[in-house]
Amino acid sequence: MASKGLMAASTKPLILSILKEGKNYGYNITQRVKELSGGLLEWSDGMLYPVLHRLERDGFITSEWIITDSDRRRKYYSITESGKKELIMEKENWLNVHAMLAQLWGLKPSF
Amino acid sequence: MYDLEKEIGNWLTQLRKNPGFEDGDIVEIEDHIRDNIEYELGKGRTPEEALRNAISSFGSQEVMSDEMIKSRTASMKKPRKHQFEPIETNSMNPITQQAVMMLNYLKVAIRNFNRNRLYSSINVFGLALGMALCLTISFWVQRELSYDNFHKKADRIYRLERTLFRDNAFSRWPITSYLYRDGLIDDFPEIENATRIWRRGFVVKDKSNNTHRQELYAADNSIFKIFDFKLDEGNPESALADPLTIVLTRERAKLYFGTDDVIGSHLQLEWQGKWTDFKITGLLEEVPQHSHIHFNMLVSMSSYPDTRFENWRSNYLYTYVLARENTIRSDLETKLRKFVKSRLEVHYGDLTGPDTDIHDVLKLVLFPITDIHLDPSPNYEIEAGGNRSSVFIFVSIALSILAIACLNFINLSTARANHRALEVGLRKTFGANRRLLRSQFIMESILLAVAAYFIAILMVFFLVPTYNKVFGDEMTLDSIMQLDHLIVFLIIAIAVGFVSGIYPAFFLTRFKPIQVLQKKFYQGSKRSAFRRNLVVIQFIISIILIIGVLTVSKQMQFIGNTPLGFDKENMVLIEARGEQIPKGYAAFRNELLQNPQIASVSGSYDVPGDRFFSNTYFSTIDDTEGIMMQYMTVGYDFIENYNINLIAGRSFSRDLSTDTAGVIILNEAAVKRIGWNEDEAINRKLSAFRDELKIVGVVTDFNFKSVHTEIEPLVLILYPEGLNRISVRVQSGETESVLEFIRQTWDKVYPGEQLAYGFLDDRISQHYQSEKKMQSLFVVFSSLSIFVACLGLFGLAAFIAETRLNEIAIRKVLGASPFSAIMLLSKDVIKWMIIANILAIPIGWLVMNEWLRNFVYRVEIGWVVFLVTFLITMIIALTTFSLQAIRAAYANPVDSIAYQ
Repeated sequence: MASKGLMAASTKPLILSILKEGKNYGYNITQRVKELSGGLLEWSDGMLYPVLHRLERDGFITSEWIITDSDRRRKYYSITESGKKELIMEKENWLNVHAMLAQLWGLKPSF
Repeated sequence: MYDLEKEIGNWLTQLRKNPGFEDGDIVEIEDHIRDNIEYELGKGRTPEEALRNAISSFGSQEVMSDEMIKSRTASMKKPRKHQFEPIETNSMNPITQQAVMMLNYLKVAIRNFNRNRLYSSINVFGLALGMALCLTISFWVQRELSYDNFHKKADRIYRLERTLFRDNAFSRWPITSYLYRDGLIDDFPEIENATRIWRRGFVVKDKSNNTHRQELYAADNSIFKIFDFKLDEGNPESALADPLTIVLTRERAKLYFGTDDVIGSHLQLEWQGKWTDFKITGLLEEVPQHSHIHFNMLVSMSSYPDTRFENWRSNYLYTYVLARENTIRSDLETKLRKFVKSRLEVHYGDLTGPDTDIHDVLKLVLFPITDIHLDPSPNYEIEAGGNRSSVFIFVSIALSILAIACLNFINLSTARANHRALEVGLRKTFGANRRLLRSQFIMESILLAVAAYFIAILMVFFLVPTYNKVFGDEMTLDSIMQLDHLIVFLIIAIAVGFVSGIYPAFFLTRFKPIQVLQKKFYQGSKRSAFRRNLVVIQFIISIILIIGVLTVSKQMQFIGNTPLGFDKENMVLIEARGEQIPKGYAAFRNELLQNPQIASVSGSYDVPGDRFFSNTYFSTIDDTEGIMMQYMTVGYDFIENYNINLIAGRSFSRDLSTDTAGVIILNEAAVKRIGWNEDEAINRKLSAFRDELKIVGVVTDFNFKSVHTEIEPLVLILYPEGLNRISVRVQSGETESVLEFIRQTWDKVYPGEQLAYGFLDDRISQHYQSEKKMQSLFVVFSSLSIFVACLGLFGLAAFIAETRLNEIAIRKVLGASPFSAIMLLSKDVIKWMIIANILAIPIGWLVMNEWLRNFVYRVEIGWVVFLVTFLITMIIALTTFSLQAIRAAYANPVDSIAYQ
């Protein structure tokens, strides 16, 4: 079980990374996260949406409404250029942290 | 049967009640839930289980709602270095905070100014103009009120005046005899000092032996102790102590000597028929403009031997007393009754009787010198004074103009503020608080008013020189630009700004945004009623001013056209004082009469239009009591030359051997005073000057003083040798060449004498100078105040035209003509103007009637004045209004309808 703080911190890079794979919508994003984490990160689905909206407000992602085959309105999100840049920064930060911890924990040989 | 759709619906209804979710969110969430349910159903769950799982994995609505609200405000962005640091208002010191706020107000004010440049300019300009006029007038008024204040002891200096009760009326006599001064000092320890001031005219010889006529005063040396008339050089303790001493200004010294290094030198004056040396003992400072008496030369009173003056009833000079500190004026005046009893009563036997006590007919009055300028004596005043009622009127005008300008400012501000209701509504919707909005409005208004104040000061710099130029006055800017004045007006400006800001501030911020946004409120009739009332008040003031202008003009025209009883046109007056003149007069007159452009010539001591005439007692043979009457000493041809109408007897004639000095002609008033009729008077005798004077004729009353006073009894005494002025009647049109001829003749007959001349009508019009000036100022100020009032009307018209644009447009579409649209708009204006006139006319009538009381011969105001006033206001108001109305009427209806 990941702590609440870690979950909160990781949501943003997770969403941005998933959207980098292509346009996607809320339900599918939660499914994707669940799939990836194998149940390790347990989100309540509802908490995804505030994060999505906030990212959209910050200009990292954009959204559009699309009518599905079943005649429902569905909101699709896609990553923007500034979102991609943000993701690179996030990636760097996370990798740095990871590298530090890996060193400390001896998971990786030091040269 | 389990109804899945209904259960989803219930859950969504729950969601909708939560304020955190917006419509879009709910659609999105519904989609999510349905996806999840489909997934669960696909795994073989029952619909009931599928929904339960989907809801549980979605999580708590409440927690999510909080997050949703946060997501709208907070940002996931990390603060970057180039981002602005938020201003922490609390950490700023209060002054900086204020300054930041002021800057913000200024910014918004400028934006608003630019958004509505026309109205804002009208607004600021109108207020500035009002303030500039008010400033200028207030300085003028202040100067009028400050006369003789420059004497340090001004509050203790009085002019001793007599009040006489005669012919059932009190009259004021500022002149006294020579003997009063010493008597007063001897009798009353309360009187610290006193001086006599006696107006004299002399002939002066300059260093090149040219002669000049010089007005001056004989005074006691104590003049320097009592007053603050200063000596630039010389000893004020003794300058005028000795006989035959003289002090004069630098300007006079340079004129007569060519240098101001004159102390100790002698100036030659023709003194009792002989050229006499007067020793110069001091250089006088120029007498300040705001003095009731002006002179550039003084001689010592002691030059006159005391023995010359033994008569208490010979009154011809002014006595000024300086009371000791803490002396109460009324107490001292009561004590002066003793003086009346002990020293004067015996000499006033003609006024007292068995039933009449001396105190009933003669009072001594201590007249404060600071009051002389505004309350000049109608008789024997030193200089033409001011007029308390004109000061009052100008104060009223100044206040009226300021009031109009302020009302205007308030009016235009509120009208403009209305258009900002939308702005206020939006600001409130976005959380601006009411207090801030109010101070925004008030500060903005104050800023505009302060801007107007500075413009007003600039305007004063142009107004004052113009005023000086037009009216020959000498108002100085440095006396105007005094700090206390400016501060007072700055406070007024701020107050005006505050007041005109406070109305929109409270009015507009009170409204609920929703009303404003739906435009429900600012077309209310109550709003324009307020501004309509302001405009009506402005016009009431303007109408009163117009009535004033018309009445003053009418009165002035009346005075100009009042038959004076003699012909004042085309009369050249030559100053003829001095020993040489009478000797050459016959020759001079004959030479002049050679010129066909000269109709007639007469010589006399007095001429009509003089400020002073001598008076003495004239008694009939059977009556030893005399009647005090004024007299003119004149030469032959005087009656004919002045075209004075003879109604009985004959004129003076040089052909009759009996007509020598001592023959007299009376005016009608004099005949009436004595109790005769015209014909009875002829050939009777009056005694005066210890002589018998034979009456040869009676003339109609002619206005020998001014139209301000009633024509008094007058005796014309023939005395050909008493020459002071030569009156030359010239044919109209050829004045320049005739003047040149007179100059040549003068130089031929009187070589070395300086010629000084003037025109009679100019002299006479000087009596009415203050009225003339007042008339012109009145016209200028009223026009400007009406102009400012029109600015207000213009603004109101614009507002009304705008709010009714739709109505007009629709009417036009339905076939109304532009003219009927103009009528529609103008109907109200006509109504207001009628109301304003009805309210203003009685006030104007009262005020102007009061002013007219200054004149003995005066016009009735009359209904024509009111009719003209009404028409003027109507025309001005309708014209102003139409400028806007026509624009509205001819506007393309499509524009205004489409706009809505």
